[in-house]
Amino acid sequence: MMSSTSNLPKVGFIGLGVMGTPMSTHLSRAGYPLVVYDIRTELAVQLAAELSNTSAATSPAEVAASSDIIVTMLPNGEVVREVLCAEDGVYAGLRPGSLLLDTSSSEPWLTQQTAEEMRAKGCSVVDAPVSGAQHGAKTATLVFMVGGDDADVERVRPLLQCMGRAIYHLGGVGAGHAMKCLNNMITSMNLLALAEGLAVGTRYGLDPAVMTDVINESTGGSWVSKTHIHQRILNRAFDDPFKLELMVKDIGIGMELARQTGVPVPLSANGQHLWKAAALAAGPGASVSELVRWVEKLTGVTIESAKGPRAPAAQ
Amino acid sequence: MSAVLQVAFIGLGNMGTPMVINLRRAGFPVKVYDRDPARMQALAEQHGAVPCADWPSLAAGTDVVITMLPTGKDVADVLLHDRGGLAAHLAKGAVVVDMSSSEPLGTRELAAQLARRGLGMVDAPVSGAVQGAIAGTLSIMAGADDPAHIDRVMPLFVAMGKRVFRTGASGTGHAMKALNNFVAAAAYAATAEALMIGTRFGLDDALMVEIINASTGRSFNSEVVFASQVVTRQFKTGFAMGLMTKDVGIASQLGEALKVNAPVSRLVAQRWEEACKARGPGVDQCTAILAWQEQA
Repeated sequence: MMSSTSNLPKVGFIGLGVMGTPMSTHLSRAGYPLVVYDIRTELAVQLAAELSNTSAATSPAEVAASSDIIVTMLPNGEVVREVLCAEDGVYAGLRPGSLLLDTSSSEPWLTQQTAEEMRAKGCSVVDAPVSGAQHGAKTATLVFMVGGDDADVERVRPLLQCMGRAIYHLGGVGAGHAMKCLNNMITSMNLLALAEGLAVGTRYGLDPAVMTDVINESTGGSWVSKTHIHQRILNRAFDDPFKLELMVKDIGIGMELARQTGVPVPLSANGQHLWKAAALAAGPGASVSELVRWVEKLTGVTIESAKGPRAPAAQ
Repeated sequence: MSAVLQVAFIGLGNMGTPMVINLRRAGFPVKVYDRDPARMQALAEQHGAVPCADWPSLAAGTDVVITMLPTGKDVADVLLHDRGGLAAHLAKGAVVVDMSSSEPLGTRELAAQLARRGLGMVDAPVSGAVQGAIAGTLSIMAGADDPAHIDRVMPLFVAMGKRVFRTGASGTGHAMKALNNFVAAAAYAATAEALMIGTRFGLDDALMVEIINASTGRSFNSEVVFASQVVTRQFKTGFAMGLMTKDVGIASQLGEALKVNAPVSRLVAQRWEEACKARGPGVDQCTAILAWQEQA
């Protein structure tokens, strides 16, 4: 099954964090020969030792020089640009005909700029950011939002299938990155509205635990209301692993897209201000759940059930 | 105590009419009142409800009054003001159940006034819209200062609804209803804004909604309203723009009255007012995106 002499393309993987490590592991298990790199070189060395038919590179240029498809999973689009353009970056080692598959949550306009530069070098780009977070990466159940030319997308489809459960091809290069930030912008607004609604209700005398149960059964229900309130707020844990600053980044990308396309979005614009204020108050590294604690400060209401935390009502 | 509850039902609109039909099917004797005699007549002929034109006949022998009216002010008018008010004619111990989407601070006041006359009050707004009213599957959010009043009317709730949430003291049902609709309206507006940006960028709206529904952005609105009503251009949720605008306004004003600084609720209320003004209160609420697109 896993033959090292297969004619599968050679894959370079750059960015071995909480997402990149399990994603590259799935590719290796599917038989792809890998060359891996991270700015923390010990991560690459360690992973290469664990996986078969995998080597560690010491620079992005070295990855590019020996790869048909280069996968990036990096904190943001600026970092992707650095990895491409640095002196020992991907561009320095790139072979014509290679393809860059950027699974990071990058800015769509940076991705489009990269695609132009890559085209000039006889290479192509597919953007395929993910939803599903760390758990989805580990269990290969990520959802990929894909932008790129049809032929390029077909070229990377087998890789995406190894790492995820769903692949949505949205359009040309940048379309996946646009979709990713817009999904998160909706998520962020849902959480903000929910926090305000719970604050007003709690002040009025409603039990926020009962409110959450009712909302989850009603038209106000959402992924956020079902996974975040009982689980991370009412128990005062405020511990969602997704970082508040990354949400603010995605909202910022969405708002920049709105500006570039000339679409007035007053609710999201206002939400952006509030999220930014929350990020300033919470400081770097804070959990996205801290947004609710900030709403508590703004409203002067602690969203806490007098009866203490409990499991959500069965649905 | 096992005597069948005698019901007086006021307000025979899109919601009230099917609710009366379900009460009749469950075997409850129901007197009905509406300003429009034709509505009373239809329920009398087809479902055996008893039409009443004045308060004394409506109140005689009545254990429970159910109101299903456009606003809390209409409810207070019927009970306290119009022709001296129905409350003056009710026997002590009767319970008023307001299933309208009323303003919660007004409900507290009404409950206190009724209590002084020896009358009970339950606020019990519903979610589930017209389809839920017809199918008898409404979700009911019940608040009351005396929980025994909810126990007493529970057989009526069972006839009209599927699920009853006890939300706390008087007014909490109404507060819950308005706040749920605010959260829903915010999710609708956020989803609409993202679709407006995305489609302008070149994304397909149906595909966007499909992905949102597989991702963290999903909500009742994205899964039901956008997927089946907005991208399909059906625009039929059965919930009027004017009613959604009213509910979001109640939620926002509740925050103001309680001195809770909730800026998103103010802006959501304003956005729905704009949509309501542009398209009219009678259109389906899920057409709000069309009004906002016209501004773009």
